[in-house]
Amino acid sequence: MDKLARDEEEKLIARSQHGDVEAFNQLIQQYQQIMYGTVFRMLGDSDTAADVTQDAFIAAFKAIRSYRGGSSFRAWLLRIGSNQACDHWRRVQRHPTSSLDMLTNEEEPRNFSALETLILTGPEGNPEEAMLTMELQEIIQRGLRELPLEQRTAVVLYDIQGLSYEEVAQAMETNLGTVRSRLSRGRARMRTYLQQHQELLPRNYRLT
Amino acid sequence: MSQLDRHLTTEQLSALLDDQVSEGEQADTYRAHLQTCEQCQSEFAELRQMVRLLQTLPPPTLPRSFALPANISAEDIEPATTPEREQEAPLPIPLAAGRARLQARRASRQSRPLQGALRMVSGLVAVVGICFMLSSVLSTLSLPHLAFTNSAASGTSSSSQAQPGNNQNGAAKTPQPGPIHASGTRPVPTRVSGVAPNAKPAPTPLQLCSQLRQQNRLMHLRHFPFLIYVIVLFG
Repeated sequence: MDKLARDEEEKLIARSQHGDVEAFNQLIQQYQQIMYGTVFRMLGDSDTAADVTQDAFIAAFKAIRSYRGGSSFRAWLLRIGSNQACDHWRRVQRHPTSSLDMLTNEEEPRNFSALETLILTGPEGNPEEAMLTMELQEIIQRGLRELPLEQRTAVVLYDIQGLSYEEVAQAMETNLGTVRSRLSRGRARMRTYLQQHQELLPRNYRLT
Repeated sequence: MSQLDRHLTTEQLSALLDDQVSEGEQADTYRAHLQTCEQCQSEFAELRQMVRLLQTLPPPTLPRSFALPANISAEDIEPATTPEREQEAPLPIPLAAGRARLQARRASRQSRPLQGALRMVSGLVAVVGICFMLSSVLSTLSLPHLAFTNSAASGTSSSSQAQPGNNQNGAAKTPQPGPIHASGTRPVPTRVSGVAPNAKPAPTPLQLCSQLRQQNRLMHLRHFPFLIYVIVLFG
């Protein structure tokens, strides 16, 4: 997908602020991957993430008049998306009986024997080392789920989605110092989690 | 450049990794320590590995396009709420919405008998209130046509209409100035009986008459919010 030029994006935002759905849909086209990716990484379930992402875009369209130019539109959108994901997560925590086995995934421990072979042969044989197996992604996803929401949001936005510190601060409505602290605490927890699952990591990703 | 005599914290290592050591801190001192301290080096390497792992996570496949339907504009953009408000609003997530609807239905079912009782009480209050209002309105209307001596009597009649069987009936039989107070909004018979003898050496009849009119008007105004309250309850 081509990246929108900044002035082109500003025009689309201005048109959206006047109720032009067509223009807003072009913005959605541009940002749906990062929005869905963020929500998915925060919640860990694709169906729920799709619903929350859709709601987040509707909420963003309704609220787009409150967006003031000059700041990152991506961070503004992700603020809505991550907030909705957090709200959803908290709601699920309050009513754990209602559906959310899929989110908490507490069922019987999986059989990782096949996984290990996939990991050991996967990334190294792959020219793109970045390709992680589905199973490894699942381990990371579980690790993310263990993080408190604020730390999870910071880790997802900075480490996974690649926002800048400033954008993360904007998306989380906080300052750089808090971002730094949440990020470091989230990383520390993730590291502990992954160390506990050391044997499942590919050799070149194993923590010492 | 001074060496640190303690190990770097995870936050310092994490900030070093992101090149986000704030200006107040000594980034160079941290780096110098990192070069010499094996323990910090090992922790730093672990942190970097972990972050690398997160960075290499591929983006999930989009399940569908999230484009909005063209007809969403007209009705939905009008409120132009802020994101904060949006977050407070219930989300149209089917599950949550369904649960909320169910709870609302249950709550309404539970409060039905209570509502009926409330309606009956409010109906009664409304009838009493309207009688009270009518009496005060009648007394106001009758004032201009009556002489000052009769106006006092009309005040008593209004009070006796409003609250038959009340002590005020007795108080109304006391001479003129007493009932004027008795016809006020607060039925305080003791005060009325106390006032009546004091008021015996009354001011001039003209003053009395204008006083009475003012009080009646005030009373009328005092009833107004009550009438609105009654109407709302009745509704």
